Amino acid sequence: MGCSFRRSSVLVVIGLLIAWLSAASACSSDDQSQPQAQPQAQAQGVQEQRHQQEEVTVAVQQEQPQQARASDAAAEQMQQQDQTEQQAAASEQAQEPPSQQQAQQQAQQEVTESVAEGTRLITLFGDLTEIVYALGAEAYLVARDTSSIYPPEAEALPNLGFAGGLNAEAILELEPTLVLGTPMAGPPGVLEQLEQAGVEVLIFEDVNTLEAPQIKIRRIGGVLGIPMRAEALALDVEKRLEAVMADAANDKPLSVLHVYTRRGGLQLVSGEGNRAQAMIEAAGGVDAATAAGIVGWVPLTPEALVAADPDVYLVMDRGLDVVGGVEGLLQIPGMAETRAGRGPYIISMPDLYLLGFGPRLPEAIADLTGYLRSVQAEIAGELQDETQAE
Amino acid sequence: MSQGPLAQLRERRPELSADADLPFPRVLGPIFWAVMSAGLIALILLNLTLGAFDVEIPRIIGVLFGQLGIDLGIDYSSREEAVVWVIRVPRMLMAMLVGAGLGISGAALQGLFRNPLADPGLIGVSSGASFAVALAIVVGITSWGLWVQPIAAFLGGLVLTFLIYGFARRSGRAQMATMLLVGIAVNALLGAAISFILSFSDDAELRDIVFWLLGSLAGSLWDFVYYAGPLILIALIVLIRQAGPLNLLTLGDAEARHLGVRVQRTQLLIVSAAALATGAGVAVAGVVGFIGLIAPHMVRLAVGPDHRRLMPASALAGAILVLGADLGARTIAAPAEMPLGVLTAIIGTPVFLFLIDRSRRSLASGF
Repeated sequence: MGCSFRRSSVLVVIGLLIAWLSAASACSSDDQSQPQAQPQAQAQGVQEQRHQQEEVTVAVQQEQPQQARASDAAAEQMQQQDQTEQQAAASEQAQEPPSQQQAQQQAQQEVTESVAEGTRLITLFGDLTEIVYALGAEAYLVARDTSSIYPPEAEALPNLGFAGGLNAEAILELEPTLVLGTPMAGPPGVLEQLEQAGVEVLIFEDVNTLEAPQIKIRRIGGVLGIPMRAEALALDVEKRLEAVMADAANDKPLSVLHVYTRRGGLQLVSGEGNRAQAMIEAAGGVDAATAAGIVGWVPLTPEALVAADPDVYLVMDRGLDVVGGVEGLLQIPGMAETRAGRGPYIISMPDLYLLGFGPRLPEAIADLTGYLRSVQAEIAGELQDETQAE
Repeated sequence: MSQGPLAQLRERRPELSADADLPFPRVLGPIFWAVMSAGLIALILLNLTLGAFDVEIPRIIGVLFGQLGIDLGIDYSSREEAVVWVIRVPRMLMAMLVGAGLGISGAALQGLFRNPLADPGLIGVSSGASFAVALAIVVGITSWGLWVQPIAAFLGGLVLTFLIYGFARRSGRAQMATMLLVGIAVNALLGAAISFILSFSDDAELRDIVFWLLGSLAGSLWDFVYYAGPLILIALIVLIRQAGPLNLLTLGDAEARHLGVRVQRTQLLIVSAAALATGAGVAVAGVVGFIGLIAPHMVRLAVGPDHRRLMPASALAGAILVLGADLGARTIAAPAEMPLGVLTAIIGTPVFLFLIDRSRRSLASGF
């Protein structure tokens, strides 16, 4: 009896150990969020909507002779005039600086290379779809997954649903020759079935650095047989990246916390090694979670949040929606108790635009830089008000 | 099992006799088997012919015979061949195997635990498998290959079942009532552990895990049929061979022992075989709920409580249910895919409620 009691307590200890290990491994696993983006290309900026008017003025006053900044402010103004989808789409297009169009024209002049006739392409994540469009190869696309919602024309393609739950037969029905996916694509057996049926399946490993767009562009260009066009686009993205990053340099950087909000009470904070860190640092901010020693994704704890005391929260549009907008966000314990919460200074960007790391990465960084500058200006304004009051 | 003790028993306890409480006249027995077999064949044909990809019926026949090495002179494209032979046939076989394994395990465990609510999940197979898969996905080892997920599920399910069995057996003799309680407690613990893992996972992992928890036959490869198929078939044979002892066990452990049943051995065999059948199914299809619970109840009204008839009938009913549900999963939301577990629940719950209502009216005793 005593022996078996000991055995049972060993079992309990093993159970606890497993639970603990799972927690520890979940903490340290360096996964990235690739949430679904929403169709609206909202460029909704800092703070609540009633503040937006002032904010834009701030942004415009600050304006330097920078293409991205001007179009950024223009985008916001258009947003305020009309929030319909079409308008939002138009504003997204307005954000594209002319250099990309030039590059595309240049690429089109290179008539020597083209995608092989009969290529039928399926892309299983938003960033890959975007790249195919940016390469001008959209004519070969026959279907997409549910996250591929940019450019808006992509939504007209047949939707295969969530990329992790594919239907092999439905894919074969579209007679694709090439399927491009991320590690999320599955179930694994379906991908295997596709390969057995003679469809080439290419999986793009996740890259969380700013080289991600160029890597993906070059690889897609390579498999499509248009490497020169891809090279031109990649170099163009690189050039624009350098430009926006040179502009983003900031001597008094704000500390920014990316919170991945979701329904159900548990929020995640993004730390070192995630895409948000790369984004925030490129836009001239300091990643508050990385500074606090957080690696990967960890659940948000109110006290740690207050201790980190970020200046700004960076969230995704859909995530902000599901927690009930700015008000809902600030009701999450601890969120209202930081500098960012007291402002409140909240930057919300479309999911795919912010973390997709596709060809629009430079514009996303430029936008984020602009929003951060607006917040900075507003904080400075508030300080001034306070001194005047005294 | 010899008929001797059982015949004596029937005299003593007439309600245990196979025909005692049948709500239908006995003549319906052969009709029941005929209807079930016809249903199974009809669903097999539907699963072969329907799908998002349109293949004409003669061409399907051409492909099937072509694979057997017989050339019927029917032309078909390589893509049609792939759809029929690489996707539909293994998926249809997997659905039957998984369904039969779940159905028969449910019948055996309901008998073993003398509890109409018992299902294969109770002995920890499903929760052990789910926990192992969720852990594998979050830790990231699923990227090592196609085999990680099924193997994690299979081992997780089996290990947990034997932990529960071992725990229930710690006083020297496995008490089935204890095992039931231990199973419920451990399931609750692992349910919490899975929720805990889910709370840490990001969007992609979260959906991977949830998708797996809802079950799917979408990725059924021939390899899965080759590896899981024999395991499930072995378990089916073992369970059917234990039908006689199981009948006696319903009287109680002591009574069964007096009637010559080796109680411990029978219990261990049934638990192991049920874990094997369910674990192999869960490994390839994820958690497919409800089948193990409702398949035995569906057929019990027609064939009665005798396990020698109940268990094969439950296997048949399970196969029919999963084939039907998977047909829906493949076609309803095409070109996307519906989670199988959602459909088995949608089909299962009304059937179950109907059966409860019916048995409350027609059956005063027993389950």
